[in-house]
Amino acid sequence: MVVTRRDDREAGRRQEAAPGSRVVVVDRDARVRDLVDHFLHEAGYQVAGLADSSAALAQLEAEPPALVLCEILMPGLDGFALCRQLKASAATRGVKVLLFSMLSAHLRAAEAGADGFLRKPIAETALIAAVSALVPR
Amino acid sequence: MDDLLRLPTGNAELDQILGGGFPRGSINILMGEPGSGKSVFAESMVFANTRPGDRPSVYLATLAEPLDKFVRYLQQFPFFDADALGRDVFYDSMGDQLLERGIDAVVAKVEEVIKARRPQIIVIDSFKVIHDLSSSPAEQRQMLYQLTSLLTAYDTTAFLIGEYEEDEMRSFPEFAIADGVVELLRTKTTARDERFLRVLKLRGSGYQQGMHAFQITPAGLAVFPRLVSPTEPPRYEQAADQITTGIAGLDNMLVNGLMRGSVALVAGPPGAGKTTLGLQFALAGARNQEPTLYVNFQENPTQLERHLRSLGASGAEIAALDFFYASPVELQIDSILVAVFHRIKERGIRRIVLDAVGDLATASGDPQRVFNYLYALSQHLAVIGVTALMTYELPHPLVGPGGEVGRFSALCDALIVLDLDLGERPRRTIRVLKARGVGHDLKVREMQISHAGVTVT
Repeated sequence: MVVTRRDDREAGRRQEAAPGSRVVVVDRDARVRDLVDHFLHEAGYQVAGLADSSAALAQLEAEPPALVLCEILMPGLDGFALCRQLKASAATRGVKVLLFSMLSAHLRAAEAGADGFLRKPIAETALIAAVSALVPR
Repeated sequence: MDDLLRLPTGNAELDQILGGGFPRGSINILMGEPGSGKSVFAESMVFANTRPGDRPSVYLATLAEPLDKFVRYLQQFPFFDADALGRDVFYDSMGDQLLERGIDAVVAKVEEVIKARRPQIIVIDSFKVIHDLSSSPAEQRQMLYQLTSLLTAYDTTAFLIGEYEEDEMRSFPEFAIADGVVELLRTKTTARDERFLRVLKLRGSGYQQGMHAFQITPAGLAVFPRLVSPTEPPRYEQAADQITTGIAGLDNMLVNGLMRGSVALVAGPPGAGKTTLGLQFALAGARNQEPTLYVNFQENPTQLERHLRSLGASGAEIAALDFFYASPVELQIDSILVAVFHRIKERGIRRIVLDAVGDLATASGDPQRVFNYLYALSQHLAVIGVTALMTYELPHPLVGPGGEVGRFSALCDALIVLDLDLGERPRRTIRVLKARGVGHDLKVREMQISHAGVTVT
C-alpha cells in the first residue's frame, strides 16, 4: 500500500500514538491527503493515503481499512465508481465509504452506495464528526 | 443552484455590496495604495468574526511592516478586542522565514498555521511583497499553485493584501487564482480626499458594481453603497392624487398642486425665493401631519428656524419638521444621499426638500455622478410615493434654463422657474415650465414673500 507521509517526524509521532481504526484517504491532491492525515491522526485514527483511484481497489482488497474517504473527481476511476466496486467486492463490502468533493453530490453519493458524503473544503470538525459517526477511533 | 456560504464582514452595508459577504473558502485580494484602508478593512472583518469557541483567525505579516505596527494602530478602533488576542485572533509573521528562504517559506508557513490554529480566516499582509521577492515568474507560479491548493483544500477564507495597481491585475498571476478582488481607492477631485471601494471580481456572487464611498471613522469603516435605480422598477400603484405646495396660487398654476410621488425642480437666481418656496412646501407637510424632511447644505437648522418663523411658522410646526444639515465644506454626495435615503425609509418621510442640488454638483465636481444619484433617488421616491422638491441655483440675469438645469429637469416631473425682475418695479416672478400629467398654467406670475408666507398672484 502507498502511504503518503510528508514528514518523517509525523510518521514517528504516528507510531507513538495508540492504534485506532484505519482510514484510507483517496485523493489526487497531496495537500488534501496530508491535511486529512493530520486531522484524523490527531483524532486517534491511523491514516494512509492513495493518489491513484484506479489502482486503489486491489490495494484496498488486500488490506481492507475500516473506512475509505474518497474524492469524487478523480482522474480515471471516479469516486462513485470506486465506491460501487468496493461495495460489490466480497473483500471490501464491509468497508465504510465516505465520498467527499467540492461538488454538492449527497444524492449521487447515496445512489452509488456510499455511507456518507462530506463537502469540501475540509473542515476539521465536520471531517471528524463524519468519520467517527461511521467508525470508532 | 447551490448557494455559497458567506463570511460576513461585520459591516451591513459592505455585506450588501458583496451580496452577503465573501464566499466562505474563497481566496480574495484586497488591493489599494498605501493608506487606502486595506489593513483596517481586513482587521475589522477578522474581529467581527471572532466568537469564543469558534475557530480563530490568523493575521500574517510579511515584510512590509513589522507586526507591532499593525497592533499599535489597531487598538484605537472599538472593534479591537484585546481579550481575543492569542485566543481568537493570532498575529504572526513570516518575515524572518521570507528573508531566510525566500518565497518557499510562504506555503510552509501557511501549512504550519493551518495545522496549528485551524483558522477560519487567514490574512497575509502584504502579499505584494511576496510577489516582489520572487526570483522568477516560474518560481512564483509554482508557489501560487501550491498555496492555492492548500487554501482550497482547507476550509478557510483567505485575504491577500497588496499595494497593487489596476494594470497589475492583468499580468500578476495571483489575480488569476483569486476568487474575489476588492479595490480601495482615494480620489482627490475636490479639496478633500474621498475614499471609494469597488468589487472588481467576486466569483459566484451578485455583487453591486461601481464605486461605493467609504470613510474610516473612529468607529471603523463606514460604507455607503452606491444608490442605484432599480434595473427593472418594481410595479407600483402610481398615486393619482395631488398634494398642496403650501402656496395656493402655485397650486392653482399646477391645477391642483404636485402629483404625489413626483419630483419638482425649483430653479432660479440668488434671491428669487427658492429656499423660501422650499420651506413653504415643507411647512405645508408639517401642517398636514405628513412626515417631512428638509435637506439643506447652506443654512444650519438654527438659521432655517429663523427663516421659518419669518414665514409665520409656529414652534410646533417647526418642531414637526425633520432637518438634515450637511456643511458644504464636508459634502460627499455618496454618503449624504445614501444617508438621506435611509432617513426617508426609517422615518416614513412623505415629502422632502433638497436645497440645493447645485451644491451637490459643486461639491462633487462631477455633475453626471450627481445626476445619476438623483435619478436613482427619484426612482426610489416615486416607488414609495414620496413627493420631492429640489432647488437649483441659476445665474442672474436668467437667460433661460439650459445646461445643467436642463440635465436635472430631465429627472423631474415639474419644473418651476423663479426670477427677479429688477426693473422700475422690482418683483419676483414664478413660472411653471413643465408639469407632467397636468395641464398647467404657463403664464409668468408674481410671487410675494411676507410674514404670512409666500403668495402667488
